[in-house]
Amino acid sequence: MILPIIFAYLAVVFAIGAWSHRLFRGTGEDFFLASRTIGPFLLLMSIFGTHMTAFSLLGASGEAYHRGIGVFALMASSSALVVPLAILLLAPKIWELGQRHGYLTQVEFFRDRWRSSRLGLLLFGVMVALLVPYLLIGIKGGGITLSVITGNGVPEWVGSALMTLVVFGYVTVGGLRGTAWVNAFQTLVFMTLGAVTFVLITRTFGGLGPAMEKVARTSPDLLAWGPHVRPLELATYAAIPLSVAMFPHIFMHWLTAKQASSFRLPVIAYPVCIAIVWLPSVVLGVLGSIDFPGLAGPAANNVLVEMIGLYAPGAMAGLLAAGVFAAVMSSLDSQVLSLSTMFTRDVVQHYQLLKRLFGEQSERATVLAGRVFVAGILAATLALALSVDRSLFKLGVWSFTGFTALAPLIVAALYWKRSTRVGAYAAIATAGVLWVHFFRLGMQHPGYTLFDSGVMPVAVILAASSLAMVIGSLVTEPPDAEHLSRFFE
Amino acid sequence: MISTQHFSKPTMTLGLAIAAIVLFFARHDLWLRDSTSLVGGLPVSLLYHLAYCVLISAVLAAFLLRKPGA
Repeated sequence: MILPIIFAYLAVVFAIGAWSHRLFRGTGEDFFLASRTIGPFLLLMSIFGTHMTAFSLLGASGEAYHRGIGVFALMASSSALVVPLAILLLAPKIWELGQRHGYLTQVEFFRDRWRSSRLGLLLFGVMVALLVPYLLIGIKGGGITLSVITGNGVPEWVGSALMTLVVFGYVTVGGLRGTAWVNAFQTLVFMTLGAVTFVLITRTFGGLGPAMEKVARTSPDLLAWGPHVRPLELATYAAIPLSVAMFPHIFMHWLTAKQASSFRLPVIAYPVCIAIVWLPSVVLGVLGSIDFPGLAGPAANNVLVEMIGLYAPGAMAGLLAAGVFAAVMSSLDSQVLSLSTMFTRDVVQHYQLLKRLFGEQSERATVLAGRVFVAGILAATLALALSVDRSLFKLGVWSFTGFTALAPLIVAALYWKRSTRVGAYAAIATAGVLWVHFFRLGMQHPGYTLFDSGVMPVAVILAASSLAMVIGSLVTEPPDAEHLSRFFE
Repeated sequence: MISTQHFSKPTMTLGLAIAAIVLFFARHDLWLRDSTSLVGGLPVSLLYHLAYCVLISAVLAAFLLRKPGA
């Protein structure tokens, strides 16, 4: 009964994406940005659904299994504060500039702002490299879900491949309008089913109170953040959600808003939505320590799905697993679309790549090149997902650290007239070198923090890249006033 | 537009900045760090952070739903 429900769910998702194609206006702006017609509710659902992924469900519950309720304070509370502020301060400005200059991608904006094609190409490469581990989280999460919920009846790679194919299919047909509609649907699905899972499982313990009292008897350290999280770690984790400022797929969703005031609802509702999704993940991860004790490291990625399999009856297990799929796919689709758009616009069109290679470049061939590129990236990520056995939470944190390290670029581009392309290069180079350095340390010493103080590498990289942006800009010629007038009133 | 309509006055920008700083520090519930007591079935620190999320929404609503110039 589980598999038919999941297949039915995937069919519904594909149908929504395909149905949205009926509204297609036949232009690139409509395919990539839904003609900038997305209103407040759809904008909230699509941005939030895109932001929440396997990291927030499987990763959060797996981490809570090991570290207890402190995981909510680390990521959910910090995201509840930082993400809405980032949307408030960045999104309306980006939207306005996008309207004025017709941007479709993040790279186009930066290339234009600092008048440098090479900077755009470098950023494209960096964005793709950082998106791969993020894609990997989703693809691996889908495979884990289907494999565990069917009692290993379906191999992990089949689940991953199936989900990837469905996403690739509806994004290719529906473009960003399809993605936004499917995201809205899937966000409602995973928020609702997350709450249902939470109620169903805690009821089997006799309610939330008795469930927690049981944890208090077996693993009391999981009910406080102190035993597993250091104060400086809690403080510096707040930098990680700043990654939202540089996600290329979130940038695209910002451009789709109907008007600037459409961002008001997403800003206000975001913290509550975060709490609704993260509470069940963290509590169920903690409860997993009762029924599945002794899971080591990444094995805890499965704990949420194991709990669903143990406590939910057959058909319900399929439905709840579909909820996990919903969370994963609602991010994967936007990431796939943004990769395709960036490659098409920022590489193939900007450099007339096909013309240089084959002598001509038609619209159809350009679109096909974008799809082939995305198919290649997805195939490579799928292969990587099968060979990597890491905590989804930690993989996510490293990916987000890279994006956060680049956040000074968007802040400087929007708010600092004196910033220059040399400053941007300096910030990217600093972020890259330090990210690789700390990533290696993190792989050698799991749970690495600076001098074992609790300070997360992300805080150091962010400070260093910000400083590099400032110094690099100040030692070079200021941009001319006429060019700046295009970006500042 | 929310960025200019609501934050055209320096006092509003300053107000939001102060609110953000206060909320940043409020996230660090050091006084609950080792408490395992349960309130309403939830660990007390988790309940605090849930309330914290609701508070952020309320503060942002207070800024953004206020009429410009009010």
